[in-house]
Amino acid sequence: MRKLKQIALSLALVSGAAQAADDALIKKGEYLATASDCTACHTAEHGQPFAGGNAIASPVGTIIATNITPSASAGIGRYTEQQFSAALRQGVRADGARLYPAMPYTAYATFTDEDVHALYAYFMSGVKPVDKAPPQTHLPFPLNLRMSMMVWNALFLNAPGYTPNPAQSAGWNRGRYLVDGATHCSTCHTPRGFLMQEKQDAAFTGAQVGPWFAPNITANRVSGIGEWSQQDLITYLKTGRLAGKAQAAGSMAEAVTHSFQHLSEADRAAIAEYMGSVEDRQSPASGTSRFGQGSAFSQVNAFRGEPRSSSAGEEGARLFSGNCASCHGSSGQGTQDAFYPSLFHNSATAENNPSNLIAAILFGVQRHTEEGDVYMPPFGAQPNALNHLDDQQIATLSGWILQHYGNAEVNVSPAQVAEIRRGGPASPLVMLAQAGVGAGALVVIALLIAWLIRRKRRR
Amino acid sequence: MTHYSRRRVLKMAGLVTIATTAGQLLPLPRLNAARPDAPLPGLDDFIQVSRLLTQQATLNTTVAHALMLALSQTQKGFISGLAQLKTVLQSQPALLQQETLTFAAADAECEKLAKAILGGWYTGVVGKGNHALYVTYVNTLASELMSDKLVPPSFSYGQMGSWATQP
Amino acid sequence: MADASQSPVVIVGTGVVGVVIAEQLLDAGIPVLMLEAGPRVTRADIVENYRNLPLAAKGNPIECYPSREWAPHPEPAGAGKGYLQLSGPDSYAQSYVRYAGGSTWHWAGTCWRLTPADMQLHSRYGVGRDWAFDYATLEPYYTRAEYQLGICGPDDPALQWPPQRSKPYPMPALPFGPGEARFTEVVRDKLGLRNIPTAQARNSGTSYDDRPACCGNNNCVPVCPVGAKYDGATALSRLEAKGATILDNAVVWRIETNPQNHINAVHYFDKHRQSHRVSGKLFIIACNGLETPKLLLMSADARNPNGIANRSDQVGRNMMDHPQITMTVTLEEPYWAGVGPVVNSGIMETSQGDFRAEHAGAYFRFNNFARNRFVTFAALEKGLVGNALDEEIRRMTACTADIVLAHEILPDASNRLTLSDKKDWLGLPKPAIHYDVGEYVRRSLAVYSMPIAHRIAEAMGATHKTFSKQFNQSKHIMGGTIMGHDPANSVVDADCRAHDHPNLFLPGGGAMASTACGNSTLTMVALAFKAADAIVRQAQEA
Repeated sequence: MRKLKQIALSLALVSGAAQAADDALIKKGEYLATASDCTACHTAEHGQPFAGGNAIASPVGTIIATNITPSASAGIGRYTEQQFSAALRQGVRADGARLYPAMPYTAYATFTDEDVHALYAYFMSGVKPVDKAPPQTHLPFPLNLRMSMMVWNALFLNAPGYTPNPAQSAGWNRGRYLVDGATHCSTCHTPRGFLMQEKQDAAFTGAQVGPWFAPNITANRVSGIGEWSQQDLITYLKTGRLAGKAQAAGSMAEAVTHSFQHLSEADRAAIAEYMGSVEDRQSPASGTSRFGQGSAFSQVNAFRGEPRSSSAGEEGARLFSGNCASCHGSSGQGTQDAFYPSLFHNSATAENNPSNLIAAILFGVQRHTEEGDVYMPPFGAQPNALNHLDDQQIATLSGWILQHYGNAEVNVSPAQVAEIRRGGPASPLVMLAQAGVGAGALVVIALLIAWLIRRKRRR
Repeated sequence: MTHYSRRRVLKMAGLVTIATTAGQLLPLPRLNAARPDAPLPGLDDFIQVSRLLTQQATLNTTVAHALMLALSQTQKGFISGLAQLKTVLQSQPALLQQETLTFAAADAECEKLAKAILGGWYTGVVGKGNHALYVTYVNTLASELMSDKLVPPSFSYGQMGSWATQP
Repeated sequence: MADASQSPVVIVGTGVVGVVIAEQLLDAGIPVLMLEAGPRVTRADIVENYRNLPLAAKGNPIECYPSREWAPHPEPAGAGKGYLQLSGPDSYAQSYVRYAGGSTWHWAGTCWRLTPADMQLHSRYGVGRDWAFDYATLEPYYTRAEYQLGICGPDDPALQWPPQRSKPYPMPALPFGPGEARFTEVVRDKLGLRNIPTAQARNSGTSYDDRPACCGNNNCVPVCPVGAKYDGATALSRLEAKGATILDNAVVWRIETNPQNHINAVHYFDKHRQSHRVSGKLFIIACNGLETPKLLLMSADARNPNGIANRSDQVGRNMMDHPQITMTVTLEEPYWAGVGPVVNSGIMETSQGDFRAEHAGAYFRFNNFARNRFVTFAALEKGLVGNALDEEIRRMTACTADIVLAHEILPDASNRLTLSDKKDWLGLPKPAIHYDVGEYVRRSLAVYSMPIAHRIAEAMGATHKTFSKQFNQSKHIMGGTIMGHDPANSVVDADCRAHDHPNLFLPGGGAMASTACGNSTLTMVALAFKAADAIVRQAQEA
């Protein structure tokens, strides 16, 4: 009897320990999923966690994120760990079809087998299954031929896993592991080539992401964030802002809200350590960075006292005063606590690419961090827009802001505003791919006709 | 709309760059040189008189420029009055030691002008009723006096709740 | 000129009552046509109007909203000058905004509910009128109103007014500024009174309703520059996105009845004085408590010689408001009013009690408007100069405060709106109002509210105090289309449906049977929800 009790106790202990080990593995998987920001794409607004349905606007069309809950009918409930790993690191679905690189599997390829194991445990046991499948993705021909991704992957996909660099510190390696992998920074911040592949020799030097511009985050003092200290970058990742320098909006605001602020301080420090070593070889060695430009300025005296109906000059100043000055200050200086940022000494107004300024005006800025809700309302056509500004008004306003608070060399046209309003520049890839296929088809037909004619002649 | 007169004055001054007190961080307004289309005679005198009256060491040059133009529109004989006022203030420095501004009966006109100038600096308005000229809202001395505690209405104070922590 | 309406439901007025009802109808799949007398404006325009006002004029909120000639509203100068023809011992110089979005453009956002006792003045105290239903009936509509507008308020029932609530406030209360905190302390410690956080339509820390959070502009009256305070204008684009048609600069001047005495059309003037006819099945007149009775009276026809919906002869009678007195105190210690929203707290318990059989109750609120715009003139008037002037301005900004005593009033049929023989730009009669606050209020001031005010001043350590010379308006227009069960002495029923015309609804402040002391907007919106439910049912059955 005692022996039975002992066996039962051991079994209980073992299964208890196993349970504890399982819990720890799931927690580790949850942390990695947070670091990877799976939720940003795979959770729709007001939707169930990881149930998909989010329509991601890409330059080649709309891609709809899938349900990755452990639902057997609508999600990945039937996936083995092998299949999960293949999807995550090689872009191959369980049914063999290829994923589009809107799913950043090129980055997630960096994950080690242990981390994939933890992620698998989380997605199988730590997430609630949702039995509703989102709509399918339909890209225009020929991009809807998923097997075309096989060629693309052969050209641009790395082998899975991460090899540490023994010459660097543990922190640096952890940072690189995260940056290249889970936090997939290069998928936004690295410019892409014609076939939409990341340009390795221009890594992290900045790229357009829909209506927003993901800036240069190399350690270059002029073009990148080289003048930031490591603590600066850690603060930015934790809070989404750095007073007197920059703040996160668009997808980066989402990334801070859902991912970066939840990382451990050590991981944020590791990321900062690694990024501090990333060079930008293309950039000029001298010049001013985008963080110290502009100064306090007010032009209200040009129209103060005049009724609104009179057409005093400086429409930009009037637009600024009526729409922006309340929060951003009568001279663009922001509030005392910098919660409402100053517009000078602010990278959003000093980039050579004005997309972020235009997009912030059109779409607003939303972030949720421990500090509180950051909410700048939009000024586009939305029902909740604080004021509906048209393309000409935003062009005038942006130009005025750039001239006085930022980079006075940059101009903004109404056509540019319209393009950002539409979701950013489109890629010619679709049209060219279609043209290419069309041309190829014509060539084949021409060859066929030539062959038929020759056959006929021989007879 | 109540017809406060069109304030044409700064159109004459042209567009100038001014640096106002940046939030509440800088102790004094940074003054960039004002570049009006035509140099304004008597501006130095006006600033000097204003400094005496307001007892501020530095005053915003753009506002000074605008006030001077506005006053010359609303006050009859402004330039000569200004010269007279300057003489009175310089010859009777004791006037400014008092708490209230009371001139001798003979200088009643000077007193009125002094009060108009003070009113302009503190409230941003010159003149009365339908002929009032509006010079500035944010840069009034009444706002700047309070800038460590209050932000002029219609400008934000800061994050929700930040006003509660003020002593 | 005949313009057949595309929508069976026509809403006249795009203030908070109109937009709330419109949204309920649209969400139920019922299309809506809205007619607004005034213009659509942008927030930036109003903010700049405000900044363009010289310091003295900034105290009068209507100055940023110059009215249009075809839609005059009372104002010191311009198209609305001399609009109201007033008579009687007390002034009824109301102000409101005839723009798309209505008067919530410049309200302070205060959202008190009525208490159960407030709705039963007659049965409990033998004065005034009882409401047609009790608090428990209205309570769910209050909840819907609070969630629609986005009200922030305290979690602690001891601080709620009243504590009978079915759901918590959508957002937590806004913190007090230093002045309010100090005021709360002194009235509690020295007088045993509770200064509680105002339930207010302001986003406290979250972007409720996809609008920014309050950031302390201290400009709520006359306009919130960022939309953190709810105003009707924030709903307009959303209504259009849901399919509403909104016609601005359309001044309805006549309600037309058919032989069955149902409403079958309204007529409106455009800004070129052209009249248009809009037919429909259901009509909602939500033009505020003054313009609605005026329109009903103007529309008198052979079937309704005293005006539409006026068989009771109560249309335009029982005009009510919250008569208020402002006490300005000068203090020894700095309170620093002026940080945060303009009205953030109040002492409400003084509005309740058995004394209401004898005289009105009162509520006391610490006004949190920044003082420097008011005190600078006084300091300059004193002839001060130099450091003395600076110190005086600073001292008075920090050490003066306004406490407002707001009273309830009883419905009195002789407080009455009629049509004067003066005409406006469109040739429509200007309203005339006779008003007397009555002994019920005057006695309160003499024996109740003024003594309490003196004690408050003493508790605050006031060295000097002044009072308004006469009762002023709170701009809470109530009573002109009063609600009741009996069609002989009321205009609308419990759903704000006109007794005389089954397809005509008159929701808003005009329907309120009692005023209590607290601001009326939340009650108006609760009535709007109650009316909306009835309208949706009626529209779907038709």
